[in-house]
Amino acid sequence: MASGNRPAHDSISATELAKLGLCERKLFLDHTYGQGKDSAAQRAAKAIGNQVHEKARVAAVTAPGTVRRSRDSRCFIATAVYGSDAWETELLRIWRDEVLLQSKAGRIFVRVYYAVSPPIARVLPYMPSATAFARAALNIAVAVIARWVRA
Amino acid sequence: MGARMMAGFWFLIFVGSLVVLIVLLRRQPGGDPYQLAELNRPSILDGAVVVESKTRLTMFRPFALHGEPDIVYRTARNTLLVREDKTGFPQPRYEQIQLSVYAAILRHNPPEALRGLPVEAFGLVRYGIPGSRGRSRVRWERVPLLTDEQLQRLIQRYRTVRGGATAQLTRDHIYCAKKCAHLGGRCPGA
Repeated sequence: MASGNRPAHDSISATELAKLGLCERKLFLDHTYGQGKDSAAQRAAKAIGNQVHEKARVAAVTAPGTVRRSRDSRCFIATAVYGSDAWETELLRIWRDEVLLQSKAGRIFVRVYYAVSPPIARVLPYMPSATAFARAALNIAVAVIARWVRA
Repeated sequence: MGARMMAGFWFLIFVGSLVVLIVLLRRQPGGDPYQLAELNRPSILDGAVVVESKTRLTMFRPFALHGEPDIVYRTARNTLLVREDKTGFPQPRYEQIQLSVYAAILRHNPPEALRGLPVEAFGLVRYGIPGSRGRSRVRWERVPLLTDEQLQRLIQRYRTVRGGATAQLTRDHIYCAKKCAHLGGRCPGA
């Protein structure tokens, strides 16, 4: 019996079932003889399609007025500077989840940040100049990350 | 001779300035085309929150299906809405089945944080590739989704087609020549 988010062995993927809407013959051939070999042109078209598709997805997730709910909502200094629901805070959370946490160095950085940042975030509301400095630094980081996300 | 050279020089300057001016004017409404395309979303997405993106969703009952929707929104009216982005040629039936599977999973086995939220009876497909300089070649389509009964029939059809126990419907030759990896790939069945 399957558990968690792992599909059962007889589970059908949405993409696979949707092939019925394209060409039943291809579905049968895929199953019987394997996926077949794409031509160079088909491979190139797929690569470009995937790239464009990913850009569109990232743009949708980071679009103004849209907030992606990150699983871990902690982002202390950004929350103190921008607010918990600001898109800048969400962008930083997404960057943490999808970039920093994917590498060992990134995970160490996040761990250190979580150890150091709560006391800083607590005093920021009482120090306007420090808040302004943090905002300026974060604005640069957000601009760089947003450009990276759109690239 | 000197006057002619001067005239030529000024003519080149004039042409060069025109080129620079045209380039600058064409760039003016710039910005990331993908972000600009997001500004013209259907009104149902106003105030919507992205709750899942490329997350594997699965369900085992009433049938075993899985998939990774491009985007799942929680709309402002507290419903779930699935969205797919398509950059290639529109295949309405394909998109409808895909979105219906995602919606069915969200209905029957949603992630814990989304339990109890109703799922919209339609999904959204965004077709096209955003053009540069703000010229959007993007089109949104509202797709009615299949019911559980219709999905059940599709799954039965899927199994019989894969088993080879029934005649399979094919597409036109132009589509096959362009899209089918079996054609021209020494596939014995093609």
